[in-house]
Amino acid sequence: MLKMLSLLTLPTPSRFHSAAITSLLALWMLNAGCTVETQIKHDPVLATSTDTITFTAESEKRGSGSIVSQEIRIYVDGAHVQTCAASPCSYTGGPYTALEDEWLVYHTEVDADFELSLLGITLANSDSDIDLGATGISRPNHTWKAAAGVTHIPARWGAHTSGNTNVLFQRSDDYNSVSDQDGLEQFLGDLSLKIHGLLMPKENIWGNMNDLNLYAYRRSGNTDSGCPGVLNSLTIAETSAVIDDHGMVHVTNFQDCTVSFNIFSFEGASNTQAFLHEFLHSTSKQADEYSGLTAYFQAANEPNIFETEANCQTEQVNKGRDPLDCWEFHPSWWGTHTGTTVMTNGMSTHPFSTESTERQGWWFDAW
Amino acid sequence: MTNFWTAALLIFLGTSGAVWAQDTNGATTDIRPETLGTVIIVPIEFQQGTWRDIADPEIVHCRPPRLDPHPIGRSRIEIRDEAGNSLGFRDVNDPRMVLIESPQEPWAPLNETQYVVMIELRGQPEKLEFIYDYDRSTTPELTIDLSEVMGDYNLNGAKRVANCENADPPFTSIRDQNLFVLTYALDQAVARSAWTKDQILNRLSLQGLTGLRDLNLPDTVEQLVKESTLQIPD
Repeated sequence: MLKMLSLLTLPTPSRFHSAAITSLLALWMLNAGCTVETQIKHDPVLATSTDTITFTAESEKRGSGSIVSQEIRIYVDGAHVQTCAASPCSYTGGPYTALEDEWLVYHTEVDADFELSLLGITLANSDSDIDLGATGISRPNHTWKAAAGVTHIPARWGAHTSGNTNVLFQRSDDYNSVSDQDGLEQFLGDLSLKIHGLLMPKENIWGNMNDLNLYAYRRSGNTDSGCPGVLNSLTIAETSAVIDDHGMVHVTNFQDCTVSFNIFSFEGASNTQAFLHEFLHSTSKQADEYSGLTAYFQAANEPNIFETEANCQTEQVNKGRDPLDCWEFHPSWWGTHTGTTVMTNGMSTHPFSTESTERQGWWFDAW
Repeated sequence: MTNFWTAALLIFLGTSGAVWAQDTNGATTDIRPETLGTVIIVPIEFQQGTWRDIADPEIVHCRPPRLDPHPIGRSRIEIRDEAGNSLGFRDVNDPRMVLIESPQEPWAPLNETQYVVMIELRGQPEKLEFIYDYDRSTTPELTIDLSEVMGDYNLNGAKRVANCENADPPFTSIRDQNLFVLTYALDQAVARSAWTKDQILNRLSLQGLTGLRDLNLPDTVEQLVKESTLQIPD
């Protein structure tokens, strides 16, 4: 993201104030963090060559200024297809028949002008941001590059995999009660909803999808013995080291879990507790924030819980917060969270705790 | 994360020029495996208190597994040459670690689990060691002989994995010598500036990403080009 102080408007008597004051105000404006961020997503997430696709770009301001004007542009497959003056900005295109078995790349750009008023002084600046995504356009039967031996479908690709977290979602065979193909269709529908409706809009995730690459596996594993399930026996042979985390999606309602921070399970039905919670266990090593018989751990960077009160208080002091907010939420484990959070109860409507937010921010910056 | 410049761009420049011209096989649509990385993979399991391998090791072309500087409960995977010298290691999260939601019984590590050991191939390793609790002991729980698979690798190369080759647009597009997303970004830059693709690429090759500044591209296009290059974390 680029930021540029483009205009400084002072009331007439002050227009000729010293350069020092001007510089100070400019610095303050920058520190106030008037920036714009954008995110673009596509729906259906797992589109075939017969589907139309709706692209939705959103912008959000960061900082205390207000957006005076903005221009959001959507580009699909390199073509400028939509311009909007307000968020959200949508465009429906396709079907992308010519891209069957190929990648569809799209992106959004936003240019925003800000104003910030203080003590009768109005400062203005501008900022811009982009977000790029890509997806695989599969055949109507949901194969993608099958002739080349590919058994996954790119759902939402954010950036090159060398520094990204690659998550492969796989269904349990309890989806396949009618047939494998029916199970695949149901699974892809559920997964689309999870990604488009729950993951991408979630605060702390929104605007950071360029750190995630999400794929759907065409084969099924099983969850006969509960969580996290057994991956299809070909999974490792076929996906090798390119996958960082495996998400097992299932129909039957059972107690979910995450193993070794790289295999997690969750129900496929719409807004359940497990999806975000287990996703965050696995990808960003967030710890549980409830009191129970689970395993607790303090991550090395920006942990969301602490193994000592002193660690928690030091964090609070370092961040300029009240160390008395630290409390022993579980014997010998400390935190500052209150109420329900994603890491206590896991619904998408639950907020991230402050420490969880910071952990997530660190993780996105680090990878 | 410090990003340094950019295997993808170098590959692009390389494949469009002399380097690719030296390919005597004429395999212009071939994947260049070295751009993916080479990985040793061994499935293992923990049962009745013992770690054992459950399949032969394989060497494949794929993006190497990410390195985690601070795993939770450290297990170590290490490869050694014939003389016992370490050629590389990777620390991973405890494979027996499980986080069960609202458990009814006190937490304990898994009594049984399967795990896939993965480490980037470096040098000519003869054995792979797996050390479960590296913070308490450096004695391997499991040692896997790599001599046979390395012999096969030296003879035939690494196994190709379709999903690896097609997981990432730039890697995929190497098949066509056409860096998918960077090309997408460069097309945008060409369409919205006075520069040609060759001029922009030349600037990038000589000056890296900082070379974009002087091109006076629209801010958003400059960002697009920057974010569309392959960036490799430290």
